[in-house]
Amino acid sequence: MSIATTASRLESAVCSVVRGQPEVVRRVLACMISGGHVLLEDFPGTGKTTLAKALAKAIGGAVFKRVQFTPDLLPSDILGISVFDPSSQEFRFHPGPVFTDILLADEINRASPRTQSALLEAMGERQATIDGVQHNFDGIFFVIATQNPVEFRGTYPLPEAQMDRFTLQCALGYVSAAEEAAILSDQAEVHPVDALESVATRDEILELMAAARRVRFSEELRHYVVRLVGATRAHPKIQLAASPRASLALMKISQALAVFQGHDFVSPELIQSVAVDVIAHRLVLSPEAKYSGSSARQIVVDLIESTPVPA
Amino acid sequence: MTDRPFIGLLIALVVEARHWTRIRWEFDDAAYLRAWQFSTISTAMVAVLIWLDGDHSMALLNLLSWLALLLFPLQFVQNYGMRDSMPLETFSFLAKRRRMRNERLGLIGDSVYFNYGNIFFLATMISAAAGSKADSWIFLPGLVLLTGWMLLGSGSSKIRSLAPVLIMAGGLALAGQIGLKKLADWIGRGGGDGEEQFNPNFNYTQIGSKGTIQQSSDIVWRIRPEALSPSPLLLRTATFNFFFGSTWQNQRMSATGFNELSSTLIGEDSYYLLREGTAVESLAGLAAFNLRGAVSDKSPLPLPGDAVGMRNIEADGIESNSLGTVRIRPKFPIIDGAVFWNGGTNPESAPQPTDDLQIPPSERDVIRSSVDRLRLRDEMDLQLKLARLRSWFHNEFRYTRDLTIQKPPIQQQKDGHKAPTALAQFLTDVQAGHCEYFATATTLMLREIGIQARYTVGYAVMENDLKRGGFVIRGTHAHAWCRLWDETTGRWIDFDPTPPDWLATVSQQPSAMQSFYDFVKRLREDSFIWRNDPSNQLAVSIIIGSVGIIFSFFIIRRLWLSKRQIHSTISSGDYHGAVVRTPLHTLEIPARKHLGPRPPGQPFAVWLARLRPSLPDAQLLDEAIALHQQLRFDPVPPPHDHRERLETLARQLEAGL
Repeated sequence: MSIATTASRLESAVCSVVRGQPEVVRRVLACMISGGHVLLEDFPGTGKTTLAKALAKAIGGAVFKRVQFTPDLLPSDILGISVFDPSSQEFRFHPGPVFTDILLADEINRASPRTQSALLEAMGERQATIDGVQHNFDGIFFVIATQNPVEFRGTYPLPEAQMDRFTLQCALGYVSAAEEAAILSDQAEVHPVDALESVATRDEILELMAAARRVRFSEELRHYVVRLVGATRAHPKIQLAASPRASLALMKISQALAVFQGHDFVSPELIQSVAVDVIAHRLVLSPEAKYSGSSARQIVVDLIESTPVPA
Repeated sequence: MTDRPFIGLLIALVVEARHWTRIRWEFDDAAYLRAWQFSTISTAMVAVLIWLDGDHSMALLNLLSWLALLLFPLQFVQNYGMRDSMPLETFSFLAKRRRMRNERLGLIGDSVYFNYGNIFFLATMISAAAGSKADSWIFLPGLVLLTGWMLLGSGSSKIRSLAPVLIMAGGLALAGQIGLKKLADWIGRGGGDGEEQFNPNFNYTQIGSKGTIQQSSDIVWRIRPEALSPSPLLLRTATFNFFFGSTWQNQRMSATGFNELSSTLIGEDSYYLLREGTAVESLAGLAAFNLRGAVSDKSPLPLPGDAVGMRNIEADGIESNSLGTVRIRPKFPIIDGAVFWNGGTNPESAPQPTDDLQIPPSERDVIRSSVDRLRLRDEMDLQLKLARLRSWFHNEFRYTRDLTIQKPPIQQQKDGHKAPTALAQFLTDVQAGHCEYFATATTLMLREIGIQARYTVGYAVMENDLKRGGFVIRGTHAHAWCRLWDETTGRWIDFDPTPPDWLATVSQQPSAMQSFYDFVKRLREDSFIWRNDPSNQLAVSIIIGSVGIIFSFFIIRRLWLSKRQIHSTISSGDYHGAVVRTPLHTLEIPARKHLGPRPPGQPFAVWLARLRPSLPDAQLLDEAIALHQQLRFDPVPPPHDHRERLETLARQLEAGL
C-alpha cells in the first residue's frame, strides 16, 4: 500500500472522530510523522484528549499511554523506577509511561517544573536515562501534551526549554454549530472513538516517518526557513527568539505535511502554513510588547509577511 | 528641466537604471527622513540663491524648474531601497511624533505607506513645463509622445485606454505651461497691481488729483562718487516736452524714437558715450560716480543732466532719445558701473522752438497773468529771471504731499465754462502742491517768456549712506523739475523750483523694517555683483565646485560602502545559489495589473492563485501553478516536457488576462 494512501486513511480516520478540525488533525499527524511532539492548548472540552485517543486507536499495534499531570506527580512516575525485588534479590526496572508510542500528557502544566522537565531528554533525544542506564525509544514516541489557557491557579507554566521541545503548539478552537450538532449525534449511542477501527499499523507509521525524511527540500527554501526563524532574533519586541531547533522543526514538519499533500518536495506555502504554530510558542516577548497587547503569533504573522519568500 | 537636458537625462538614467542593476541599499525610515531633509534644505538653499540672483518675476518658475533635481534624493532612496513605498511620516513632523508616542505607550498605530513615484513623475512634468524652453512647439507633442511611450512600456497596450490618459497628459502640459507662465507673470508684477513698465514718452502726473502721494521707500539706486568728485544733485530718468491735460508726453517722432548708443572697448573697459564724437580719453578728467541698482528690460538709467558716458555697465544695449532719456537693455538683473558727468555737454539735442515753447491753450491765461504779476519779462538776464521765479515759489508757495486741488470735469472744459484748471488753482488760490506742480508751472512760465524748457523727472540725490559712503536713492526721492535752454552757453541746464523744504518732508528716519529691507536689498545686489565679477567668478566656481565634489564624494562613498546586491527578483535575502526561473514568472508583470504588486512575503503561487476569478479557465492556472512549483522547488530536475507544457500554459494564461 502506498505511502499516500496510508496517510490519507489515517487522516480521514481521525477526522471522522474529531469533527470539523481537518487542518489541526493534519498538522498533528504531520507532527507525529516528523518525529516531533505537539502541545495542544485550548479550552476544556474542545476535543484535545479525544484527538489523542483517536490517533492512538487508529494506529493498530501502537501503545498508547496517558498521564494525568497533577501537582504531586514525580519524575519517576513518568520515567519509571527500579524497585528491589526480594524474590530475585536484585533491583528490577519498572518502566514508566514514557516507554510508549503515543503519550498523552494531560494538563501538563499542573505538574511541577521538576516533573515537567523529566520529559526533556525523552522528547529531545528519544531516550531516557534512569539510574545511569540509558534506554532508547525506537518506536514512534509521540508526545501530545495538553494544557488549558484559562486556569492559572495551581499551575506551573512550562519552562522555556520544555516549550522548545514541542514542535508545534496549536489550538483546536470551537467548531461551527453544524459540526457541533454532528458531534452530538455521533455520540448519541456510542463514542466514535470506541467504534474506531485501526487503519494503519505501527510499521506503516514508521514507514511514513521514513518517507517524510525523504521529501525533497530545496537549498533555497532552507535559506528561507533560516531567514524566517532568524528574523525573530532581530525583532525589537522579542526577548527570547527562536532557536535553530525551530528551523529544524519547521523543515521537518513541512516535509511531513508534503507527505500528506502527496508531494515529494516542499513548497514555500507549506512552510508558511505551519510557521506560526512552529515558531510562536518558542518566543518570549519583551515586557513592553507583552503589556502593549502584542502577541507572539501576530509577530510571527507579521514576520512571514515581511520576510521575502522565494517566488 | 527642459533647459538643462544633461541633468535631466542623468536623473532619468539613474532612476531607470534600477531596472538594469542589482545594486540596492537597505534604506530604512531614517534614510527616507534624511533624503527628505536633504531635499528641503537644498530647496531652501536654491530658493535663497535664486532670490539673491534677482529677477523676482522668474524666481518661482526658476525654482520649479529645479524641482525634479531637488526631489530626486527621495526617489533615489525609494528606487534603490528594499521597499516600494515610503511612510507618510517622512514628510510630517507631527505624524512622526505621534508614531513615536504610540510606540512609547505601546499603542497600535499603522503607518501609511505610499509610492513616491507618481509624485516624482508629477514634479518632473512641472519641472519640464517650468523650464525656459517649455514654450517651444515641440514641447507639447514631445511630452505626449513620451507619456505614451511610458504607458506602452508599462504594459497597457489598448489604444482605447491609452487615448484619454494621453489627452490628459497633453492638457496638463498645456495648462501647466500656460498656467505657470501666468502665475510667474502675476508674481512678477507683485501680485497684480505692481508698477507698470516705465514709459519714456508718457508721464501721468498727480496734477488735479486729490489724495496723498504714496511712494515706496525701498532703495532704488545707490551711487558712490569717485574720489574728489562732486556728487550730482539731480538724476534724470526721462524728459518730456508736451503738456496735455495732466500728462506730460512726447509726441513727435524725433523725440519718441530711441537710438542705440555705440559701445567702445578700450583695454578691458567698455564705454558707452552719450554724444557721438566724444573722445574716450576726455572722460578721465571728469567727475564720476558709481551707479548700482536693479533693472529690468528698458529701465531708464538715472543720469545727471550733463552726463557724458558710462563705463563697464554690462548690457545688451543702451539707447537714448533726442531728449536725453537713456534706457538700458540689461544683461543681468543688477547693473553696476561708472557714470561720467560734468563735462560741459548735454546728451540731448538742441531745442525745437515748435515744441519747447508750446503752452496748452487752457493754461495760457493763467500762465500769462502769473508771468505778468512777477514781471518776469522785465529781467533781461536769465539767471535773474530764474532767481525771481525761484524766490516767488519759495516765499509764496508751500510744498505739500497732500493733494487738495481737483481738476474741473471734462464736460465743463468743453462747454467753455471758464472753470479754473488745476494748474490755475495752484498758481492763484492754493499756492501749495508737490514737485510736479512746481515743475510744470515753471516750465510753462519759462516758455511764456521765450525760454525753451522741458519737464524732467528723476531722483534727487539727498540721502547720505552713512555706513558705506555715497548716497542711496529711494522711491520717495523721486522728483520732477525743469530743464531749460541757456542761449548764451548753448546748453541745457537743470532748474528746480520746488521749495527746498520738500527734502525735509521725505527724508525721515527709516523704520526698523525698512532698514532690514535695505540690508537685504544691498546684500542681494552686492552678492550678485561680486559673484558676477570675472575675477571672482573663478573663485566662486572653485568654491562651489569643490564643496559639491567633496559632498558628492562623501555621499557616493557612503552609498558605495553600504550597497547590497540583489540577485534576483524571484529570490531574495542572503541566498546566493542558483535560482530556477520558470515560464510562469513571465506572468508576474501582466498579473500585477489585476492583483497589484506581490507582497514580498507572499509566495508566487498564492499570489497568482488570486487570479482565478478573472480567468476563463481556472484549471489551467491550477495546472500551471503545480508545474511551476515542481520546476521551481523540486531539487530533482523534472522531465523536460514539463517546462514546455508550462510555457504553453503561461502563454494561454497571459492571453486570457
